[in-house]
Amino acid sequence: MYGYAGKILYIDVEKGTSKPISVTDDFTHTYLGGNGFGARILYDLVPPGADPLGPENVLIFAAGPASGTLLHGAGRTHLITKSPLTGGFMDSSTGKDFAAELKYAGYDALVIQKKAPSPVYIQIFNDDVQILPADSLWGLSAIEAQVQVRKDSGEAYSCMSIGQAGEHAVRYACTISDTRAAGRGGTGAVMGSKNVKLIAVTGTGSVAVPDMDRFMAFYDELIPSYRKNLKALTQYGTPILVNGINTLGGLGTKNWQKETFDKAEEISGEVYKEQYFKWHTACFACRVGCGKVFACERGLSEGPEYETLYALGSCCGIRDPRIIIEADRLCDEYALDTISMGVSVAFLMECWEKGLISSPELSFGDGEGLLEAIHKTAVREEYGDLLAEGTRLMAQRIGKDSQRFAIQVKGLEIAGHSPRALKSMSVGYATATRGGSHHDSRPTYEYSLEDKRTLEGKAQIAVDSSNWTTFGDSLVICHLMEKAVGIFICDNHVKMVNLVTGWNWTLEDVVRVSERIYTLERCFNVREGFTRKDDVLPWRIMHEEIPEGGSKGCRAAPEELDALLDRYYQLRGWDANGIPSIQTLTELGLEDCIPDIW
Amino acid sequence: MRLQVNQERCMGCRICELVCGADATSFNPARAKIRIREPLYSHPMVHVCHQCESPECVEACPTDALYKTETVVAFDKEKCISCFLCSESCPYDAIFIYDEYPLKCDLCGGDPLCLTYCPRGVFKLVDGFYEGGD
Repeated sequence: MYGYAGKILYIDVEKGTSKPISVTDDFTHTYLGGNGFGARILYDLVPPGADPLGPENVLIFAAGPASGTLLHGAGRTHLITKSPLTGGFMDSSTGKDFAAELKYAGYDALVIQKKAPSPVYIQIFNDDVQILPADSLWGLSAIEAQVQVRKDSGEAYSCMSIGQAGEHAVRYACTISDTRAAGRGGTGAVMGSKNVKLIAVTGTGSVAVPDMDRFMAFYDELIPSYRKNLKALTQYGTPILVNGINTLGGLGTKNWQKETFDKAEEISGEVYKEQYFKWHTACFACRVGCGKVFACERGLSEGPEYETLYALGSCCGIRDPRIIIEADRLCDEYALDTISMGVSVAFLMECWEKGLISSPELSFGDGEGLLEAIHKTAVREEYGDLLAEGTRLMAQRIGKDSQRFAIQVKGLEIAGHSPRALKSMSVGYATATRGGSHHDSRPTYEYSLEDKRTLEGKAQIAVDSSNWTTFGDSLVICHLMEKAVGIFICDNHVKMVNLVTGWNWTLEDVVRVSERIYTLERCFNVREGFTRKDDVLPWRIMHEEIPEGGSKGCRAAPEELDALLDRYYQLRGWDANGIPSIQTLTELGLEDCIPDIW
Repeated sequence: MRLQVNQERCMGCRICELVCGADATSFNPARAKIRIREPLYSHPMVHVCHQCESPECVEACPTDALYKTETVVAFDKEKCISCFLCSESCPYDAIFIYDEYPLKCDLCGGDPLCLTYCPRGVFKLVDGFYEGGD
C-alpha cells in the first residue's frame, strides 16, 4: 500500500488500552486520508446529540498519504472532532512534523476515545504505545509541557499539547504542535475534556512511493513555481497580507464596524520584518518557510500570522506591534485560538463602549486590557469565564441585541477575509461545515479579481475552492501552496495523488472524493439539526454597509446571500433547505447517511 | 572535502533529512545521515559530519571501521561491531544510529543531495578537512 502506513490506532483512554486497526483499500480509495478519514470516523463513532466535551466525542489526529514524503507542503496534521464552539463538524490543522512522525511510527491516524480517569499523556514510538500519568504536566502551558516531555523522552518526539485553556474547557482552546497551532474550533477543549495533556510520537518506519524517479522529477518540476509565486510568503510570511487587504477595504476593524484600519501600516508585514524579525521557520518538507519568529522587549513568538494581526490587532483596534507579539505568545502558551480570542475581546470592547455591560472597562485600542483578557480567559477567571464561551454564547448572555455584532458563523468567529467585500467568502463562510472558517472556501481567487462586487460565478468559486481545500486536507498538503500548484483542483493535484499512492486517478476522481468528503461533513451537521437556517452570516455583515475605504458600500444583504445559497446548493446537489439529496448521496456512495438525514 | 554549514540560514524544513534518508522506494528520515534539531523557540541546528582533520570518532573506533581517506572520514560497515563509541565521541552530535549501525555523512560521493535540495542554501562543499572555525 503506497503512501499509507496501513493502520489507524484507536486509543481508549478510559481503559488505558490501544488497538491498531488495518485500513482497507476500499477505505483509502473512498476517503483518501486526513480530513476524509476523520470525517468518516467521526460520523461513525459520535452519535447525534453527543456533548462535544463529553466522553462520547472522539478526537482524531490524521495524516494523509502524502504525509512523511517530500511532497511540497506535506507538513500538516489534521484534528477532527465535534466542536464545542459550533456543535458541528470540526477539522483544524497545524504545521510542523506530527503527521510525518505518526506515519513513520506506523499510523495514518490516531483516534482518542472516552475520558481518562485522571490526567494522562500518550507516548508513541513505533508499536510501543504508552499511556502515562500527566500529573506533573497538568497546569503547565502547552509549550512547557512539550519542553518537559522532550527533555525526558528525547528531542526526536513530535508533540501535540494543550495549555491551561484546554484544561479549563475554553470553547476555543486549541492544540499546539511544536510552536504552531491547530487553532480553530476548540480541539484543545476536547482534548482537555478527555484528560489528555499531550501526545508525543516518533518512529523509524518508511513511507513508500510507487516510483521514486517520477516522484522526484515532478518535485523538481514544481520548484521554479514555488520560487516565483510564493516569494512574498518566504520573505515576509502571512503578515504581508495586512497592507493589501486594508487597501482593498476588507480588514475587519473594531469588531467589523469598519474594514479599514488607519494604523494598519504599523502592524504590517513590512514593519514586522524590518523591526522585529529574528529567523525563518518552516513546516516539515516545506521549501517556502512562511513561519517567522519575531521578538521585542516584550518577548519572542513564532508569529503573529496575518489572522492574528487581524484578530488581536485591527479587530481590537490595537496598533502596537509589540503588544501583538506578546499576545500571540500568550495564546500559544495557554493554547488559545488567536482568531476567536481576538474577535471575542473585540465583541466585549464594543459591548463596553455601547454601555451594554458595566465591566470590564475595555475599550478598542486597550493593549494592556487585551493581555489581561487573555490571561483571564485561559483560566476562566472573572470576566474571562464569559470570554471563554465565544461570541455566540456571550451575546446570548449579554442580550440587548448584541447578537447583531457577534461576528461568528455557526458559533465560529470569522477569519480576516471580508464576507462583505468578497462575495465568494460570504457564501463560503455561510455554508462552511466548520462555521466562520477561511479554509473551507478560500479567498485567494477573488482577491485577484478586478470586479469583486458582482455575484455571478461566486457560488461556483465557493464550491470549487472548498473542493480544493477538502482534497488538500485529505492528501494532506498545505493550502498556502495554492498559488504555486493550483487555486482549484487541477492536473498537478491528480499527479500528486497518483505519485504517492500509485493509483490511476483522473481529475474527476479527485473532484468526486472531495465532494464525497465535504457532503459527509454536511451530513454530520444535518444529523445534528443544521439546515439552511444555520447558513447565515452575522447581522452586521448582512445589514450594515462597509462605511469607508476601498469596499465602501458593500454588504452581504440577506436577499443576496439567499441567491448565492440557492446556487451553491444547486451546484452541490443539495436541496433548497441545504440537505444533500438522496440522489447526490447515492451518487457519492453515501447511501448509509440517507436514513440519518431523510 | 567537507560540507560547510551556514546554520543561520536553516529554517528547519528537514528536506535534507528526507532526501538523505530516501532510497529507491521510500522516504525515511531515520535513515538520514544528517539531522535537524529544533528546540522550541530556538533557531534550528543542522547536525552533520564535519569531516574533522583530527576525528575523535576514528580515535574512538576499536575496529578501524572509521578511517580517514585522502578526502573524507569514511565508514566500513563490515568492520563495525556496533559499539557506538563513535557516536558517543563525536563532539558535534553528528553520528546517528539506525538498524544497529552508525550513520555518518559520506558526502554522497562528492555530490551531496542535501546541498542540491536545500531551499535556503545552507550547505557549501569545500576542500580539505575541518580544522575548526566555521
